[in-house]
Amino acid sequence: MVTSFNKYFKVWLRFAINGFQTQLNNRFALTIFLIGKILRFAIFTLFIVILVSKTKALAGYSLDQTIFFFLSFNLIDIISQLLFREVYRFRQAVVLGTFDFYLVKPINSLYRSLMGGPDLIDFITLIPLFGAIVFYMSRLQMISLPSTVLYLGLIGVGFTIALSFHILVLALAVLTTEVDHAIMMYRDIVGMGRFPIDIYREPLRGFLTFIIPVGLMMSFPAKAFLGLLSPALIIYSIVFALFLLFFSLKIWNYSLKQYSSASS
Amino acid sequence: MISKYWAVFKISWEQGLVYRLNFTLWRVRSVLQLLLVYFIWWTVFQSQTQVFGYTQSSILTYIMVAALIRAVILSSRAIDIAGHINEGSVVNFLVKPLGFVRYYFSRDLADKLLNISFVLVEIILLITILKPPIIYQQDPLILLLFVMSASLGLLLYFAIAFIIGMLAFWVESAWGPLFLVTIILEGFGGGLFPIDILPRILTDTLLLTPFPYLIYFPSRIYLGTLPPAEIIKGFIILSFWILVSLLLILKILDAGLKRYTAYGN
Repeated sequence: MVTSFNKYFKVWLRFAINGFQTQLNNRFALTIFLIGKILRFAIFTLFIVILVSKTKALAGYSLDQTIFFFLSFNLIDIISQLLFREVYRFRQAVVLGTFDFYLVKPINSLYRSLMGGPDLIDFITLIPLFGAIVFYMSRLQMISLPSTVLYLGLIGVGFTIALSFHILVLALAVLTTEVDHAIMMYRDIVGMGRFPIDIYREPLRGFLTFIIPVGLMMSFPAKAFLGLLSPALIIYSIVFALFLLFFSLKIWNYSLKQYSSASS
Repeated sequence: MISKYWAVFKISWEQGLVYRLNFTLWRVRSVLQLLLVYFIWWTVFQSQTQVFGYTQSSILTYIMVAALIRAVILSSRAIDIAGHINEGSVVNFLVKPLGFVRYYFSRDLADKLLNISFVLVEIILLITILKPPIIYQQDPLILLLFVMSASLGLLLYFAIAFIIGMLAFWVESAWGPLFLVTIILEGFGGGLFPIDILPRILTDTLLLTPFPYLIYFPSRIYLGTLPPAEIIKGFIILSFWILVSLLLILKILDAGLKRYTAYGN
């Protein structure tokens, strides 16, 4: 188990180094995309600050709390993009037939398809984000060992749901060769979690919490940290994430059985 | 002369209808983006009656009109030129009796018409479901100014996207600059919020750039609350940027084609 973990970690490091070197080859694009991502983050933050400073609260949340929700959303979103960027390129692998090579190598094909191309830009943006989260945790004056453990645990739940969705997108790609819109739809749906899920009106709020679990992924960690989440909902979110992961792996296995290779 | 571009327009329209799933998913994504912005503002007005000088009905109308404008303006095919330059297929235009800019503009218009027809249905559906207190503008002069500003905004975005696409003559990928412009447009062009909620100095500075004239300016005209002096000033700045960008297209295209080398068989 440990040997296997070490092997996969070494492989991931190699993927990361290769990916980063490729990105550094095109410094113009790297710089522009980095500026774009930072600018998008800054514009949303500016909007939240201006809006909530004026209105004093958004759906009952103070300015610091609203920013904390936004930072938590970014944490899950950026980690997912950093690790699963290869999913965005997976269609090419299926269409051109290079996916065949993934299948015959002594590395799990799902692992290769998910984590084969870490993104340097997301890695760069992740570092200041960690700092901002810790800063806002201390500003909210709710920091304690249980609240921090709960927060990190539910970030893990959010990340597990993100992982499951990425696996489902890969499976869809194997079955239909469609990736681009599916992954962008996922991004847009998840993007609805930039703000606390409480801003949405019922039945949309319930839909975004229990059917498409954006609230569960993005809002629950911050809510739990603020002490606003019941134990029942915490357990529900863990069970949901595990079930979704199990379901996505089943679908992935099914898609592999249906795969007939681009050359056949 | 016109019939050539009419044919390009018709082919682009038909192409849009061929890739129906792609197009539908693109529209669904636009609705999702609209819902986020809509509900932020809807929530704000659950506890307030007026924020930044906007009432609930004026801001929700702004959001809906901005969504309509965004669908029209952002549905541009001008950036395709970058792919054509990178692939080398741009060489086809050099040997065919077809105007380079006019070809892309015809494709742009077909795409926009397709998007307009869909976005109107989406907005009618959303208004029926969400029942926001929308302002139905009835002043013919304001409606005329709204259509004029949106049409000029459409031309300006085409020019901006075309210029960015032509960067492919010099750089490997033009997607980065387009990504950047789209983010600036969403944030400082009025897609996410009306820019006059920003500090005055920032709003005044942004109003000197081309971005607010793509979404913010037409949407504000529709609300009917923009003073005549600001409308006139807005049209002058908008016309200035269109002129500048059209001149830039000619200059960059000329320089790009001089630099371009094609090889192969």
